[in-house]
Amino acid sequence: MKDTEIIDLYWARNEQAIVESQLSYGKYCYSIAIHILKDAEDSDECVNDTWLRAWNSMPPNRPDYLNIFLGTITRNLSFDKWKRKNAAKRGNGETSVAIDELIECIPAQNTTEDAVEAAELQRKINEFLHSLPEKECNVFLRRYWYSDEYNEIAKRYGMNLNSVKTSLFRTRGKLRAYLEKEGVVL
Amino acid sequence: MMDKEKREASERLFEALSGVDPALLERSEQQKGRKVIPWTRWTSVAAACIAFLVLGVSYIAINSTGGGTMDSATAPQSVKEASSATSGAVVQEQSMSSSVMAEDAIAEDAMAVETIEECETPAQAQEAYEEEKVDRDKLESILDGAANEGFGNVIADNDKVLADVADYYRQKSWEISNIGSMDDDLSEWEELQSEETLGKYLVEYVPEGWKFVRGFSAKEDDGEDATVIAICYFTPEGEISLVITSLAEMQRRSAYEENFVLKGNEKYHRVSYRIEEAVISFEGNCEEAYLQEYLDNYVYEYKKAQESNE
Repeated sequence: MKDTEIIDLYWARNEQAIVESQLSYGKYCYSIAIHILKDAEDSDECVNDTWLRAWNSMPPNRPDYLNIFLGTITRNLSFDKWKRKNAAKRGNGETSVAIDELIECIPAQNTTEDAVEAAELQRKINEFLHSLPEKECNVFLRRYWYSDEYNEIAKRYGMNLNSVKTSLFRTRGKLRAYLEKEGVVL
Repeated sequence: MMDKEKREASERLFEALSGVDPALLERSEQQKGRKVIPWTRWTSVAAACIAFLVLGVSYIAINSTGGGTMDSATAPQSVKEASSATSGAVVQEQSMSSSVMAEDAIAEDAMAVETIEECETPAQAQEAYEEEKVDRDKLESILDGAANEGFGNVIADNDKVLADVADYYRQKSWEISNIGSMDDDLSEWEELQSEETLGKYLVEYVPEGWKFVRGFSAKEDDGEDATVIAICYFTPEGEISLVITSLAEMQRRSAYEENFVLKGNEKYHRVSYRIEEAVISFEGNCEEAYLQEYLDNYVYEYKKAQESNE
């Protein structure tokens, strides 16, 4: 079924929408969740919660890309769950490693006195990502949005493992410089 | 900043990434790279090729030393001499280059026999053979000359040619920004592809039998701020056709291509692009000047000689 038809089902409050979402994007959402949580049961739970969240979001939302819309919900739910699970104990899963790597992007303190709101940060990150070459941007998103492992990224884009690592290292450096230039304090 | 604070900040960054433009995410979902060929596969293919090569050389050597298939009673004396010279070379060197020479010599002899068969008298036949041989010798000497200048040795000594090309452009006060070859290292090919300037002009798929020689971008140091990109291949004899990515295809429409027969069945195929400020520009004199400069090196001489022979 096409995305627009599934969205129409949501808007018509037809429960078939959830069945179709599961059929079309169940694996996709599960893949996002399992990369973050590294736990099948938790991932299933997040995917099921995704349909409920989508049901509550549509209407009023009518996303252009249903897969990304559902994937974003899954990612947020999974990350919330991951944070809860790791509040006491750190160091589980690829997300933990990915987050450790992102520490390099944190600008030095006191570059600006203004507190940056989340929406503003998102806008700046988007600006930054749009300024990147396509391949570099894709690699960055696969790592830090999808939490893909290096070898998965290398396989997806036909790159060497080292090329992936180098690309990510450079992009993190660029992001750090960009955020510092923009006066973003996290 | 303390580690804990940094980590929290990092988590905020990770969270903020949830707001990434869906179009970017969709793009990252869509794009797939070319498949990386496992080393086991290409080494096994290489091993098979070497095995075929060894068998081929052995076959030629055995045929040549055993008297071959040529009828010694009817072949002209000069042909027999050429044949024996060929077999001598094969036995002495037993190398890849000698086998190529042997194949060439045999092919030339076969052509000579065909020409001679068309003649009515033995004297005419001998004369025709001698004429043809002179032409071939002349052509061969030009080829050898080109090879001495570093061009024909690409297969044998690719590194040297790469260095020669780099030197050539340095002498021309151009700034080489990248140069490399797929033969050296697959990862180098990938690095070339990831080059922002050069990568998008490299084809992803090369037709069977084609061999990528080198790709490089060179920036002219004459104030024009123009860049020339050249992608070079060896090709087997046959139709020149490339399956290339859509972006490369778009650029190729404004590109010019050159094909040169080097030796035997080998062809040298070059696709060149001239870009100015990332926009393809092919305005008469600039392109012509570049082409002339490049061809002056060695290939143009060969092409002219070939035309005059015809």
